[in-house]
Amino acid sequence: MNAQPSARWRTPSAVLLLAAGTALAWVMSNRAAGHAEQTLRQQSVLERMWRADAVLSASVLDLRHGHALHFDEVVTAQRDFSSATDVLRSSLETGVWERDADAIEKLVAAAANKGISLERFKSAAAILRNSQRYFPLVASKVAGLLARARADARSAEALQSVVIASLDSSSMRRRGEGTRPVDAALTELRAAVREFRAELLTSDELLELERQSRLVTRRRLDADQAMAGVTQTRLDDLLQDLRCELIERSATAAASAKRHRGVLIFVVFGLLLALVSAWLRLKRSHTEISEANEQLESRIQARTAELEKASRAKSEFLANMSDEIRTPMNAILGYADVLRDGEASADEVDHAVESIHRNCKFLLAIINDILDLSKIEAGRMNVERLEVDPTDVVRNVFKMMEQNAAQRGLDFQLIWPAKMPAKVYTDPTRWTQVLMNLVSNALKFTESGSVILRVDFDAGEAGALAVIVRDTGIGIEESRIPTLFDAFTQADASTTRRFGGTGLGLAVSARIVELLGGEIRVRSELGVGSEFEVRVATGLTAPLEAAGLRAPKDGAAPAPGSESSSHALRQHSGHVLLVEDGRDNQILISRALRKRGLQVSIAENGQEACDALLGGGDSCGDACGGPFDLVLMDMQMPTMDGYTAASRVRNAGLRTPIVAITAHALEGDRQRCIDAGCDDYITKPVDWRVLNRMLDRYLSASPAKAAIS
Amino acid sequence: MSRIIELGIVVGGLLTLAVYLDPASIDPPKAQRHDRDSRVSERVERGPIPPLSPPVGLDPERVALGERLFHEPGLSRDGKISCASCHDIASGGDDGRRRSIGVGGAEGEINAPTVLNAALGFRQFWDGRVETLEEQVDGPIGHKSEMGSDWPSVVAWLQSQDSYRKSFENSYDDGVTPDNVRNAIANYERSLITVDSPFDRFLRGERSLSSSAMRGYQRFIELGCISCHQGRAIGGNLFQRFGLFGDYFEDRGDVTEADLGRFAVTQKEIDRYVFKVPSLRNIARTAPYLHDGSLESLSEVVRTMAHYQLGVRLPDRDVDDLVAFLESLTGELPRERLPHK
Repeated sequence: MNAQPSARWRTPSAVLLLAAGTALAWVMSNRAAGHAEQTLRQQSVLERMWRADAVLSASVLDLRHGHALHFDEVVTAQRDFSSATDVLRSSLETGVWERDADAIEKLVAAAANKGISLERFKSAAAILRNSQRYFPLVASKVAGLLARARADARSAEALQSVVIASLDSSSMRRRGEGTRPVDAALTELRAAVREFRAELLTSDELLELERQSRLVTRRRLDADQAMAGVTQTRLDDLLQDLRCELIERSATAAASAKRHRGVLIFVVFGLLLALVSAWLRLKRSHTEISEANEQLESRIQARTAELEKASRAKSEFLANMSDEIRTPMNAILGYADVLRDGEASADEVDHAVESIHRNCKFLLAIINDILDLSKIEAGRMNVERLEVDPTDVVRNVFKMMEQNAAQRGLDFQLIWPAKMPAKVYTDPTRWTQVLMNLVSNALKFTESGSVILRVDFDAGEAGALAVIVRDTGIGIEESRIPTLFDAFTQADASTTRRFGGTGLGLAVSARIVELLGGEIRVRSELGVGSEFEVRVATGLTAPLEAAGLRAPKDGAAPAPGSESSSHALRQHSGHVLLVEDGRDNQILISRALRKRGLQVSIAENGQEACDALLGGGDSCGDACGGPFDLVLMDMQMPTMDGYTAASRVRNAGLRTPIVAITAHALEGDRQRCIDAGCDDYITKPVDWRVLNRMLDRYLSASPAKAAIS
Repeated sequence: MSRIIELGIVVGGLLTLAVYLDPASIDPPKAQRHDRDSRVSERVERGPIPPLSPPVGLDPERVALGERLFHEPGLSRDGKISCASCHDIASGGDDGRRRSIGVGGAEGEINAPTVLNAALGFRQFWDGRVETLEEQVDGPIGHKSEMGSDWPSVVAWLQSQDSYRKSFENSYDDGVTPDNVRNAIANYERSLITVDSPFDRFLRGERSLSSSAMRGYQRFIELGCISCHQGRAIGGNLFQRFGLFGDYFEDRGDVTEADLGRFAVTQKEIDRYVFKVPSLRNIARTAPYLHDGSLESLSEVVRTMAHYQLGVRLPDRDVDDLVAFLESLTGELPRERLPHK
């Protein structure tokens, strides 16, 4: 039960799980792609900055060394640089650089410093350019002065040194030297001039030269310092570090995106597989359902057909039954008319009586079968488990049918096994009923040959007892065998007319055997004969030795039907109270009782019976002549029924045996009678043999003359 | 026959493939072509003063919208002052006053610079406190003695004007916003490039200058004016201290905050009296001169600048020649960008 739901949920769960996985992988892949994209964008910003920085540095160098005549290019580079810085600064605010915020802040600050240096450089460069252009004019004036004064070579050389030191724009060579070379050159010039002609030291030209020399040098230093601020701010290192970092990061992000995409593809593939499998499963279960539907439909059709067949069989049965019941009734009523006419001869009377008797018995058999079947079908037939001598049961059946077989001229044999158990636990009545049925069937359908009743005892675990009835009769068609034990069927409807019978015997027998915990089997060949085998468990759980195995012997036990076969009736003496409301039955039963030497009083109902038995009361009529030795009491009566009467009698303390007569053939009646206080019971119609047994049991025998029933 | 066609198809396919794989095969390197014009333009671009050319790549709708805004008094607090009040496009891009008159007759603190060619300036305002024309717009709009307004008022007023709202919606996705107003005005200002001045035409070899202007240009270079006033705008691309060879402010007296220059922006002593070098383009039309508008004539300016920035006293002839040169710097707006009336 547990595996069923989990199997049912496995595919949807897998699909859901994989869908979730797909979504996750998709999100992860997108995130990684987003990282990669962002990193690329950051890289592009840095690239832009890097390029603007490079152009700016190049423009500044151009300008400083006179390769550019105007500042427009520097300004353009400056604009690019400054807008790149702006982009960087604003991206810093949007949080794109969360990891590198410090580095970027440093970068932005460095860029700002660079901007300031650049402005200084531009101003200084413009002034320096003017000074450098103006300085040669001043120097040439001094040179003219010196020439006019016929100065010596030392002075001329010193002037030359001053000019060179002032105009040499190679800042690299003299980095860190400041104004020292110029100062030295000026000192030398001053010394030379003083030696040559001291009054020249105060000339305007020389003073201007000194002033301009210092000025141009200072301006050059200013410009170079500012230029260094532009070209040598450590923007490069910061940018490079960041760019390396970003390249690494974008590679990582790209790899991660690729990996996630791989996972995505894998999971999507899995999802597809799961969906396909779910679809297949769905399709299969759909097929299964339709197959089951078809099966169900065919079963319904089959069942409908069965029901139709059963219904047809029932109708057929009813038709049969009505015929079967009417036929004996017809005979009974017809012969009864013959007897009433009183014109019949003695032979005819005998024949009529015999016919009526036979037909009545037949009618009773039919009614019994129907009742049995209805009991079985209503689930109300119970079987008893009594300690029974199986040898007795079988022998009794054999004996009861022996005469019948002889009349038909058939060879009827009983074959015993080597050993038989002394007792088994079963229901002797039902056993007898089944065997009787099988044997009478065998006799009925066998016109010549033999009927063999063979007993087998298998001393196996359950101690199965088998009785096999084999005949050389007409046999059964093979196709009929499967329905042989069904109710309301006879092998052939036509056989009913040919052989008579209710067609219920086998059905009843099979049900009973089933109730007894056994089985009934049939083997048959058309025109050769049939063999019915009844096998029941005997319920012998004790070792068989303990059950007293012995060789069965004829006459080992007195046969219950010995009186009937011997036709000997014992005479009794005593007073019997017959409680019966039916006039015909009063006459019939009281006649039979009187025939056995009994005095009979009759009570019409329970009330009268009580009065008669217990005294006091006027309603006892001719029954008020107690005491009685036996009470035969009908159970269904007006005024007061037999159960009430019996319990009242018992309550009054009277112990007179009471035998109930009941038409209630159903199981449980017996118990109800016993419960009411009856000692025993016989069923209607009254079987005289049973009645005789009762008389034997409850009345003392008297030396009697034999009488023929 | 069919064989030939087949062969043709195969060969054609292969050729197509080859061409596809090697684009150079159909695009041989262009021969170096030198004509006179390009030689001239290469030379003048390398020179200290390249000529101006008309602006390109501007969105005409935005320029038109900016032009309307530029002349729109509704942007000011009292609805009487527009950008054009102080920057008259038809008369040199400024107002000819020493100090401008703003809302309620308030007088400004500094001489209004011309808007012509302002787009060429590396920064805006005399002290260069902003870098872009867009940023510059905030200054006059919000200045209490200029237009005296604020952005919420400006936007609300523009929203209330159907024609402006529609124009903004046509030109900008998000309609009227401060950024879009700035952008439209800046776009208009970028269109205000004066071209074809006599000097530019001289540079392009299209005409000659008068001998006086020619001498003036020569002196301009020799004296070192060109050290600062260079580039397309002849200035406007660097800061410089005013008063390198003398203290102008002490000589003039009455120093105001407007005289502090960059110092007002950076608060650094080194930036005191440092100003953006102004463009000399159209200088003949933008009197009065200097940041304080204290000089009325070009000759005065030339003398003053020579004295304080170069430390020289110029003979009259040089001054005349330099003025002649400066007068050759007056250009005109491109014909299709006629000034708004």
